[in-house]
Amino acid sequence: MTGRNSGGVGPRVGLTGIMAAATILAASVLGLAWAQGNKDRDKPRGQGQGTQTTQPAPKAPDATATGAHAVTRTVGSATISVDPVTGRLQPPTPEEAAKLTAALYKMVSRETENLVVIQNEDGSRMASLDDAFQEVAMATRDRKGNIRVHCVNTAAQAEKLLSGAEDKGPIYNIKVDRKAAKKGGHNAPAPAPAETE
Amino acid sequence: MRRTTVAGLLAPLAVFALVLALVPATPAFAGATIVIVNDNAAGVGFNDPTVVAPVGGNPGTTLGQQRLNAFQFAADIWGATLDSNVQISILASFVPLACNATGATLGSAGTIFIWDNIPVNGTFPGSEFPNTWYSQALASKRFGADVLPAPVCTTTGLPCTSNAQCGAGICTDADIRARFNVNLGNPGCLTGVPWYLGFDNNHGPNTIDLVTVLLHEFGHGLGFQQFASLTTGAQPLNQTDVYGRRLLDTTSSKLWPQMTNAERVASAINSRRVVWDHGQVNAEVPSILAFGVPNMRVNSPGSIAGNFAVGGATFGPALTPGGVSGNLVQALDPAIPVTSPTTFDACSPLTNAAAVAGNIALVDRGTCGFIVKAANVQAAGATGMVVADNVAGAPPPDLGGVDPTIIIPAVRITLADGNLIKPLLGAGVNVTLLIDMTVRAGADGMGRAQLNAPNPVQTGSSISHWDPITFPNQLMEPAINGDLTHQVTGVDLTLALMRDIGWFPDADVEGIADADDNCPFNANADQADNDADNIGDVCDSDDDNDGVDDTADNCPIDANADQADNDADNLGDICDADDDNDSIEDAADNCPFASNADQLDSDGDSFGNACDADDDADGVLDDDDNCPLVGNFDQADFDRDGLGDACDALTGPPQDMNQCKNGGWARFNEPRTFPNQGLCVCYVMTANGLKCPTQK
Repeated sequence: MTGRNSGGVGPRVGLTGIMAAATILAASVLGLAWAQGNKDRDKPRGQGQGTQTTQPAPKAPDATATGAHAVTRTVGSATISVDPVTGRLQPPTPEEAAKLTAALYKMVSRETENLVVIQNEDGSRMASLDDAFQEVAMATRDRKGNIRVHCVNTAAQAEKLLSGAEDKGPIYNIKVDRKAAKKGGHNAPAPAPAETE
Repeated sequence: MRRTTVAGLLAPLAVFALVLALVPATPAFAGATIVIVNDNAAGVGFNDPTVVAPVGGNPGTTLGQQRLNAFQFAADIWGATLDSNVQISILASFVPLACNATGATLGSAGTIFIWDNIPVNGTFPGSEFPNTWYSQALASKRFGADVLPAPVCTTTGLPCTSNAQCGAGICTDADIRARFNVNLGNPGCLTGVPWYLGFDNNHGPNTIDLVTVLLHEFGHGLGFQQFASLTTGAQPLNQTDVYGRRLLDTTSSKLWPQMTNAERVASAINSRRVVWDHGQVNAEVPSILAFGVPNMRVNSPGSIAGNFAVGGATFGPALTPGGVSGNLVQALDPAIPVTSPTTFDACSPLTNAAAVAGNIALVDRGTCGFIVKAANVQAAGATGMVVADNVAGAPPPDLGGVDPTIIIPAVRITLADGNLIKPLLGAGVNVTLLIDMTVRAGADGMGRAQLNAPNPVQTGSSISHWDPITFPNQLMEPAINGDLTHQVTGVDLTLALMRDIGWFPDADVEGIADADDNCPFNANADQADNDADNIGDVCDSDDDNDGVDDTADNCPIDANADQADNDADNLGDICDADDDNDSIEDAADNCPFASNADQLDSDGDSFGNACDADDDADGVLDDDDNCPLVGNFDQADFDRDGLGDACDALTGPPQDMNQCKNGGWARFNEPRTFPNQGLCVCYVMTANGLKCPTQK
């Protein structure tokens, strides 16, 4: 497309940060959330860039920790808390949890007012959704081990799924007998335990 | 072409992983090439060197490699399904995402940029609608070239070379961004429920199939998504997206772009009344969605007759196509504080069993479990149970509970429907609880696929998914079901929707939709079709439609069923510029079909002698002409020697008898026999004219 972005930027509606206020609120929801670190700023995404790993790749951690003060290390695009003795991942600090939640809420943001828009000479326009307008897959597991997988796009939905509230969605880890279900005219026993009262 | 440089790699493993990521898989058909751009640094995510065993067809031997393989596997499924001549790039990473022991963010995906007013570009159509947003991958497909060929900052839209220039954003030209949870299954992050990285969908009960989730989220990134806010109704820059253009609210009969913001908010919770109304989805609903929707059909009174949406029950018998019919009778039971506070909740034995017996009991939700209510109305002799919800919302959820002693069917209706029906009970309300086998699960009565629009909004994003009642389960339902296959076509409406938003099939990726392409599988932007048979020449085995295959046709683009080839030079006459091979082109040749390099034309009539039946233009055809090259229309042949006088050097009267005897001036009287029979009559010119010497 000729002329795209030439001569700088066309009409642009300013840029705003999103969901800053939600950060504080979210921290309480994610007690055990793990840390999301700073993004690598060295190169455009997609060129294999990133902050160099300074530690061996994390092995699957267990719940045991030495109790020593965790240290943070930057691993690729993430900052993680690591037990200095075992080298294993640690639960995030409240600040780290808040960052993760803020990042999640930004993903599902549908803020339409302050998008960056570039007007091109050929008449087309490009709007940057930046990190927002994402669809987010989330999963829960109840006390019986039932797993449910949802795709959400609002902060309220995300918060609810992480809050431990009852999840009434269909159970992911139950195989539906399609043949039986079809024979029953889609009225085969629901795979998800619905509300009981 | 997008970036393929590998500059800046920091570790050999990262090099390997990135190269693997950037090598496009070969799709089964033209399709599209989707590359996974590895956004993880060395040692983590896609580059995690932890040694693992291959699983479920995923040959990777490190955790990072298996993750990357799974991403590429999912990308290839989409790549084999959609057509684009522009490479689609997914900026992908495995990173920590918000989670706790019982809930986790699995991952996210979405387009990074949206575009409008994409111009026509040669054969590529650009935007179907003006002032309408398209996801970037779709925009490029319809433009026929990368709409964003170089990185820009997501925060400014300005060209960039590094993330450091982009503040809180990133510097990228990728189409889709996907981030998935690197910690899933670890303690504190949906503990014990890790990703299943196999390709075979054989995930166990305690793993989550990464490929399935990727297919779903990539689907959003490719365009299965609308961008209006469901809480405000606002659209980016007050204009719709192409997805929204297909959304019809059957209550208002308005498409989403026709609505005000407030109307869109209302429509987003207009359960079962927001449908996808466009060609390909409408066409495929009958072949994909199964018949059978649980219904309460009100038979009378006529004022409310019709179908009411119901939730089914996990207990009791399944509804049947024939159903159970009867009058609705509101169940009455004692109002008992705490345990049964109202007289309509059926939480205790009924007091109007006689009225209920043989009919269908209507009870209110609340206080006790559904199976308790069912047991009480069943004990009273009811043939079925309808639970009216006690909170607003739609569609009515299923009734949960387990009790094998329940033998009557039960359903739930909404609070609104319950309130509509109750005042009419006195006059009699006759209903049938049934599986409506005339309606497909997930479609309305007109066969239009329904979109998820629960009221209130529930977990699972509204509008950008199919209604969860859809059966068989679809890839793009708000809940990702464990029985999904890794298919986006055939058993799924997802691809049909992609078609409807503009991912037109274009197997030869030349920009012309297969349906309009006279050679769908061979690029021919000019659409040349010599014989106008709607089969383009590049794929037409008989370009001139003369019944002779081009491979054997001496004139492939000129119909010549007879294959006439005058000069036998293997070029049929109708396409041979020199049909007689005399080196004089037919256009200038006075005998195009008779070799006559000398172009001799005795009579100057533009027909060479070689092909002129009357070379001297005297009206006597050469075959009969005693002087073919000399005009002698009278054919005078004084000496009767077969050569006309005009061309006979030895004609004329004999001068003496010897000459008469020896020359050719003899004439044989008729009938004559040649050479020695008959009478010689010789004429001699005398002062008195011709005379026979014998008569002198």
